[in-house]
Amino acid sequence: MATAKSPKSKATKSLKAPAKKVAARKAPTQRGASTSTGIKAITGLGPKVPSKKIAAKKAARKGTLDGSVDPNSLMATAVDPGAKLNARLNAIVKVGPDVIGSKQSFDQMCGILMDQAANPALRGQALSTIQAAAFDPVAFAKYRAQYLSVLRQLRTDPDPEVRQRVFGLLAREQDSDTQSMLLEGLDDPSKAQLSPEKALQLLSYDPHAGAYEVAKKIANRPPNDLARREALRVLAADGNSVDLFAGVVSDKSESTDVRQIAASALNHLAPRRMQEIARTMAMDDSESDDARAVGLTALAHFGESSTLSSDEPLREKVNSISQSTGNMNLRTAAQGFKARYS
Amino acid sequence: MRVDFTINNSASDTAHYLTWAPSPLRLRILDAPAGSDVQVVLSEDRHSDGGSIRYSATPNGNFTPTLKVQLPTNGSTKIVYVRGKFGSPSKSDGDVSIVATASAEIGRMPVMVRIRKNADKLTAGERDRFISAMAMLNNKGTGRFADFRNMHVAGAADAQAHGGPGFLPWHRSYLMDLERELQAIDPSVTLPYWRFDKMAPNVFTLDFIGLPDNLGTVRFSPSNPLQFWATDGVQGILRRQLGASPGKQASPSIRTEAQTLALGNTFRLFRSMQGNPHGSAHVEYFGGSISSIPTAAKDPLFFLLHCNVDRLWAKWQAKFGRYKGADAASYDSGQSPTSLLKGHNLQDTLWPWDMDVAPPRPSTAPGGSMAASPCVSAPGLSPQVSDMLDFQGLVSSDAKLGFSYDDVAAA
Repeated sequence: MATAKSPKSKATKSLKAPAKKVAARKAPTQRGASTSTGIKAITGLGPKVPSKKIAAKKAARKGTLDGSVDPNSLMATAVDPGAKLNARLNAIVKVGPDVIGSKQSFDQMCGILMDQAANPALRGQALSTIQAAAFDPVAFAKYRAQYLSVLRQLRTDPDPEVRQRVFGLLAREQDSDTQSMLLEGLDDPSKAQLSPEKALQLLSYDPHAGAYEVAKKIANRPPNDLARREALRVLAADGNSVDLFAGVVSDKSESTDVRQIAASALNHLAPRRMQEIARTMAMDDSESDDARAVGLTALAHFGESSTLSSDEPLREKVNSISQSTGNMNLRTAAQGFKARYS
Repeated sequence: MRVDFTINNSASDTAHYLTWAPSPLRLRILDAPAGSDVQVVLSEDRHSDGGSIRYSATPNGNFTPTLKVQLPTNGSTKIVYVRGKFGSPSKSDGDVSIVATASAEIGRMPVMVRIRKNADKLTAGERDRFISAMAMLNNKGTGRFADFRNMHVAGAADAQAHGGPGFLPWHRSYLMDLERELQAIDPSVTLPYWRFDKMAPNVFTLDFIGLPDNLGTVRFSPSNPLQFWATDGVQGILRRQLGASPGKQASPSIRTEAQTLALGNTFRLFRSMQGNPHGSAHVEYFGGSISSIPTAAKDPLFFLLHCNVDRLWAKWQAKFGRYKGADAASYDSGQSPTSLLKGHNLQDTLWPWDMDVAPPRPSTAPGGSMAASPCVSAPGLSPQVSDMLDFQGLVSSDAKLGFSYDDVAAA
């Protein structure tokens, strides 16, 4: 690996799983799957909700996705702890964009989302429903401040799935306080709310988040492969990391996954250098088929056409590869190159 | 003796593309001995699975597989009309030809019935041409795509795109502009649509739109050019799967096509689809970029999602005949022609193509004016909301925008 070693730092010391203890109850790993089960009743494909003489529940049961049911009745079911999980999930889905139809509905949905004792599937669906409503920004505007406040409060929620989602939402808003929390967690494991690889990934939404320094440390002394990969992704926007990526993409001992990221980064930061390396890879029969495919794909789409169209040895080599290789990726890449430069 | 063809009022090869809407076809006899008119028969010569075309003497006439045309020998032109046969789009460029025959063949012009299709049903060639053009438009984050990325952001731009009834027209214009830029790279490309109410196993693959790992970083096969995707200087695509993959199971939380088309027969009712299925499709399957407005357009999947949103509008328009801006049911106009947020009134120009940067518009206009099409003249450089309604030229043939969907006829 062509990365330089650096002294152990506070950042590298922090690269452990988040120290924060989570609630004992099971966290949702497949939120949608559990949600889907509950929602089947809407389309008539799943088990029906048992009949009860409660108006709100009847409304939830009879409703369809055409939004024809009174949102207040649906919300009454959604927040009813005595109602069955499926009925509550159905009600949340059917409320849909009407969650911002009234302050009461929005408050109630936020209440479900923030209720740490509530079923994780309910909380997840509540968040999805609010998120979907945010895609109508004018209607959502009067709730936006409250929404962001709720998200910030949930950054320390005991449920890791909830934490991951709200950190993601706030990172995409380039929320500076959230970015600071992510950086702080990378620096001090006792304050980490997410794994280092997740924190790095979310910091990559903003190249100005100040994550280069910690990303370099992690790239040099990674706690795991994913953290290193995400550190490289962050550094892909760093003009000072050209040599790092040139080394990684040329290193045959690296995984294809990591070499792909390095190739992409180098192609962006120093396209001519990437073109030279890609040519070397294409000409090298000892190189892996997948790495050659990456290089040829880069050349075919982003290479300098004047240089490549006059490079007879390369064209002959690619022609030979396309006729002889049994690797589908390499053949596809070679054919793509030929289509442009034959 | 031979026939000279001009299609879509252009001599350029880049105009040899048809939709379900009629295109003008100018015919002229060259090198003919002086004398009476020559009878020419127009027909098609198609590859075995190629597109199919139909002819008519008039734009609103009966379109048939062949057409007899009397052409003068003095070199003057005659105009007839040609269009794709609904249900028989092309799969590759030039897979069907216009053929002119007198006593023998005297002219031939390869064309393409270029139609927006279901992304899950593309051929490998169609898929690869699309992702290749997208990757080149983005050019590692340094290309023209950055303008499209910068159009779909938070703040005042958000209000233009999503803040009123102009949501659907704005995104139609946005997709069309992008598609025209893609066609400048490869004219055989159209935007495909993702039917988010159906399982789409062929879309969510390493060779197409990519597969997210458990962390939510999207991975691609080594031969997929989207592996070089970058936006805002940041490499890669973030798309974290929340539940079942849409490649394996459709979410029951998202309104189906039938439910969406049943929202109502007026635009005022129909446009509630902005919440569900539109918003729901953004958030139900994935976290990551596509689930937030400020970052959604960083993910190429966004454009497949919105192409389906636009297709649903097109299907709704076809179902109820809602193409005329003057028809109150075709658009949700305000109480007066200027009562809505600027950019959402029927006769307003659309930002950023109008390059209006005075409040309440955003302070910049990324990308400038609308990309021109070699095939159609509409909507011009600075489209209005109203220009987006009659997209297949059913009210006025001059209004057609140059795209069609595989399951929405131009009739």
